[in-house]
Amino acid sequence: MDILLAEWLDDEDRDSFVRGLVLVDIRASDTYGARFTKLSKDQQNALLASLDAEVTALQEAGLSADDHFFRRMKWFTVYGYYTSEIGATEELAQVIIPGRYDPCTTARRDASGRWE
Amino acid sequence: MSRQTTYDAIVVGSGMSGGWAAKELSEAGLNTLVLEAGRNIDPNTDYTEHEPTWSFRYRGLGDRKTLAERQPVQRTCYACDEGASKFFVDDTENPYTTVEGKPFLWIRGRHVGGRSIMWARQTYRLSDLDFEANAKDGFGTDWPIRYDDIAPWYDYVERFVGVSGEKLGLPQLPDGQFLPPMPLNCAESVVQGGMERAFGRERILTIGRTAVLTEPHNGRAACHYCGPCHRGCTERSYFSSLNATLPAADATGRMTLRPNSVVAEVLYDESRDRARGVRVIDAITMEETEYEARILFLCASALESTRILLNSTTNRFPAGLGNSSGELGKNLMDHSMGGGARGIVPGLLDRDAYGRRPNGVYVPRFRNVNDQHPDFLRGYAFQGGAGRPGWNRGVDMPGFGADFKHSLRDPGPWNITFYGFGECLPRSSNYVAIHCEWSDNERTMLEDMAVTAAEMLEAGGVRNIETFVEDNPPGLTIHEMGTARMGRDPNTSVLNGFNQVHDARNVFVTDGACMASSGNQNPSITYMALTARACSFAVDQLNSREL
Repeated sequence: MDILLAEWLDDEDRDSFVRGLVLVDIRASDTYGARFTKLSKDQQNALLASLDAEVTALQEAGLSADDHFFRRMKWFTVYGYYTSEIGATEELAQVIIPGRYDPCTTARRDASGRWE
Repeated sequence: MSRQTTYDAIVVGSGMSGGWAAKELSEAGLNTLVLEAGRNIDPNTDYTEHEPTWSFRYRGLGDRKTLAERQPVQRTCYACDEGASKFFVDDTENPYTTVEGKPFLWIRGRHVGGRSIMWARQTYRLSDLDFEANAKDGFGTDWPIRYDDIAPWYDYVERFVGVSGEKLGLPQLPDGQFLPPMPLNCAESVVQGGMERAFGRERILTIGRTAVLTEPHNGRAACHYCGPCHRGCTERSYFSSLNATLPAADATGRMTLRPNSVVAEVLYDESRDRARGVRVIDAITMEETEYEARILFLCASALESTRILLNSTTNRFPAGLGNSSGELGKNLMDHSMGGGARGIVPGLLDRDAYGRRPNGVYVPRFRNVNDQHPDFLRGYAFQGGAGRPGWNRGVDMPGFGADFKHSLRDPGPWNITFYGFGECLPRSSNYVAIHCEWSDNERTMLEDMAVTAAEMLEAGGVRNIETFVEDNPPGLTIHEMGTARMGRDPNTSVLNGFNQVHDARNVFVTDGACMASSGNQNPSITYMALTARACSFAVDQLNSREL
């Protein structure tokens, strides 16, 4: 996420993202009287849920949420996690060389992440 | 030390067509020089198909700012990703001009292997419906060949290439020499069944015909379904010149491959009324060298071969070699693409496909096959496929935290897309400078693609169907062709029926430039077949002292 922020995003989008982080703390202070990292888990969840709801509301209204801080945060987080080694191999059990194509399998990953 | 500069044959370009010319000519016993404008490619270090996403600095998203600066045209191609952008040219070093408001996206590879490394591998024969089209409706000039002339050469190249596919017995899409087809996935099978009930044999869904091996073939391994073919294939399971034809040419001991060799012009000997060779500029040292040969094959890609001929000016041919007809550089075509529909295939949520099939489904042309559509000429085909979306859908899915993460472990519902590729009429108003635009015929056809795709998906039981008509500039389909067309009459065409330049009988052009019409089929296999056919003709002519 650091590399994408520092090198990949345009300066304007990077600055807006960093401002978004500050705004989260301001909202945490206004609502709960403390910085985000000092809040309880429930308070953190409630604050994130309100941000998430703003993104959903924009999308449901047919508007672009691409510039919303939380949409960008989520994009970075989801993209960064599932393209990481732990996200791809442990969480999703992706295989780089499947070795065959099975067009219609009922196989699932077992609890350890291996394909049955 | 003196360097050899005289050969039996010179091949300009080392991609789809050049690889075949190199193989055929060197196997026929000719000492063959292959001139490639770009750098050498080493599969051991340049191929990245098995590199995991986390090994890329931008996780596969590519270096956005550098792409915008150096490859603004190339990056519009889906294959120009972080692992493969090095196989596409630097646009700032390879400029071209277009007319204001009429973009043409010229997607190029400039290296040994050319675009055969990044191609989409779809392989469809033209038929007499295509070869007779110009003569019937009057657009363009008549092809000097018919299906029977090229059929044995399709057989010949397909046997070497290795094409997997299903035989259908359709006159408008002739069957080939096929390896076993890849299977349809469960959702595609359901839609196929629905289409069969609604449309019978008129609109058929089949698996794509693709130059990817489903079993070991000619010393190359069967596909292992890793997915990103455009980043190369160290197992050589898909066909490229680097994977197949160039090694065969090399094995003869008669091929000399010279990278970084930019051909500036064809040299014409007026006293002997034939081309004597080419002038080459070394891309690294800028040193100029003249190479001579008895025959020349221009296989540099449609627009590059055309450029070389246009730049080959002499007193005898002031407008460029091969341009006595005035048609050189005209009749530029590309397939129109991007009319279609998509939707959700209900159910099958306990099913998924395992492995990444490097191939989709195909709906062969059905418009203007047996009847005539009132609004447009020629036809189109669909490519597409079904699949279940993965984690990417999480970005725009409400929620976060553990439940959110858990819900992304399983894929989303099956969706399916039909994406149309249409024929482009040959028109002299589209020419290289570059001036190229779609006509109403292509635009009307795109609209019809959206209608018929939706009809077929509906028949296949698909829900939530959305139609689309994209506005893609010409060039982006990367099937540019037609600028040195074959024809029967030297007054209206550049090449004869054996791809021989009317103006210079020992010069052959066998890449996309030779096409008199476009069909709607992916064209590479036709370039390969025409190249092998022209090589056989040239060798016979040399042997019988006709050349």
